[in-house]
Amino acid sequence: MQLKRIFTLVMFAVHISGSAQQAGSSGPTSIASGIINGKTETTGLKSDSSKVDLDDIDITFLSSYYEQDGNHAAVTGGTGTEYLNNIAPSVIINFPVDTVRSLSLLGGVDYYSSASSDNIDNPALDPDHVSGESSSDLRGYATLGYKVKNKSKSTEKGVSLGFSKEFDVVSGQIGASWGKASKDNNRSISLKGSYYYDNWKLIAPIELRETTNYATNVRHTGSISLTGVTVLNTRMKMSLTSDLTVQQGLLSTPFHRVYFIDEALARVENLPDFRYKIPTAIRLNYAISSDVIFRSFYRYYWDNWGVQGHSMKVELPIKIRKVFKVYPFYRYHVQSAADYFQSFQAHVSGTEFYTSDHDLSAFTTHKYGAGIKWSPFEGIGNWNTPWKKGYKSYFKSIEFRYAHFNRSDGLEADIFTLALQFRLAR
Amino acid sequence: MRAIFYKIVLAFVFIQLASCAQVKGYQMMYLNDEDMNLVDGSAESFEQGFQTYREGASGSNGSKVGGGCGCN
Repeated sequence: MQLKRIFTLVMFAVHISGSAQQAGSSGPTSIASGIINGKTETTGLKSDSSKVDLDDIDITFLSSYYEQDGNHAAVTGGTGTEYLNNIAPSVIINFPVDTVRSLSLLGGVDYYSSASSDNIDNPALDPDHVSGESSSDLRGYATLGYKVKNKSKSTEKGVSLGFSKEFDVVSGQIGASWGKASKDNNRSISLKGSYYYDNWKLIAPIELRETTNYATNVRHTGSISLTGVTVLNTRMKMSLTSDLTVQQGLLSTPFHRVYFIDEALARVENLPDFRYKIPTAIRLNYAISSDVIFRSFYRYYWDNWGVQGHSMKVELPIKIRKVFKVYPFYRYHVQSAADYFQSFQAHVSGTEFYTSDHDLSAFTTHKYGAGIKWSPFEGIGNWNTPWKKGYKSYFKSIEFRYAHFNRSDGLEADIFTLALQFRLAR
Repeated sequence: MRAIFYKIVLAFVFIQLASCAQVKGYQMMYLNDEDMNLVDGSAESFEQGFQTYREGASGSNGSKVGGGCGCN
């Protein structure tokens, strides 16, 4: 009798554990999760384990409008309007090929109109000047990326290929990356390298086209970036990033004018054909609560042209009822002037290198604004996908962001950005 | 220049050794938040672009470091 009871209990226990296993491994509710590059990924396992549900395809539509104005246009020697507006739609697609490989595609266009570029053919800043082809331009670009993870070694490798074209510059880009995380995901290190090849169509200011010669129309840019990330405690993590960028070739802008104190005619901007830059940045994020996070960024910049800069940014995302997020931000930047910079008509002839481009002058900038994001749990406007019964596609989130930028030399800019995230079920 | 290089190397060594805590997976509920990612959001990419054009400094923030456009 005793043995019979024990036998019944054992059989009952076996039945219970078998049911639990079956329930746990059925359908996409069974989850194996990991943290890679700060994102949580999920793969669902079916009960027979022969079919693996892959991550969905994420598509982000971005669109921005940018407008600026100032009074130190480099095209006219450091004086004159800097009015410019830019409409820039783009799309980012992340496509998981399988559980370890993924593809990404970034593509977009920039359509911009620029009052200062229009003055390439208007050195006297004649207000009756009729706008020409240089008053606007369209730039198209695309970058394709491919990544492979090795989950047993916690490493990830990637390559990328890019292209962009506007009227006077055609550019190609290649890149590679490698990253490794510690087994407990408390630390990681990554290395990225990239190379850009730019080919310029040399367009000098109209009055200087007969007399200007350029040594080259090609620019090479190579860069390596090293990033270390560490978790400090359950609420805080930080990263340190350091880059080395080297540029060689045509580093002047072919249609920028420079006026001299002792010369009547302008010359085309002339800068050295070699430059290297060493920016180093630190980020620190702290979770004040589950709804409020403090994000901070600091960068020190140094280059061999004499520019040194400090940039600081703080951002405070605040979640409201878990589906809304409001995030105000503020950024401050200060830099010293490049060795070759002088303002309008301040250069003295006899100098080997010279520019009046105020982007290379000494100034401070302030950028401030806020964003709002709505991302309901069930998505926005979901619909059935005809190729996969029972699965839905939906808009994951809508985000709107506004920033105002001002520079101490009088340049002001506004930028509006709309981001729509869409999830395509597989 | 050499001083900057040595400081960067020391900072990287420090950051890798100074992970003060070993946080277990089940303790990472705050760290796993999307806003705790140590990168800028995609909506900020355009601002990074014009900052690269309008300032002499660039890099170390995930944005373009030069090339591909008529920028410094």
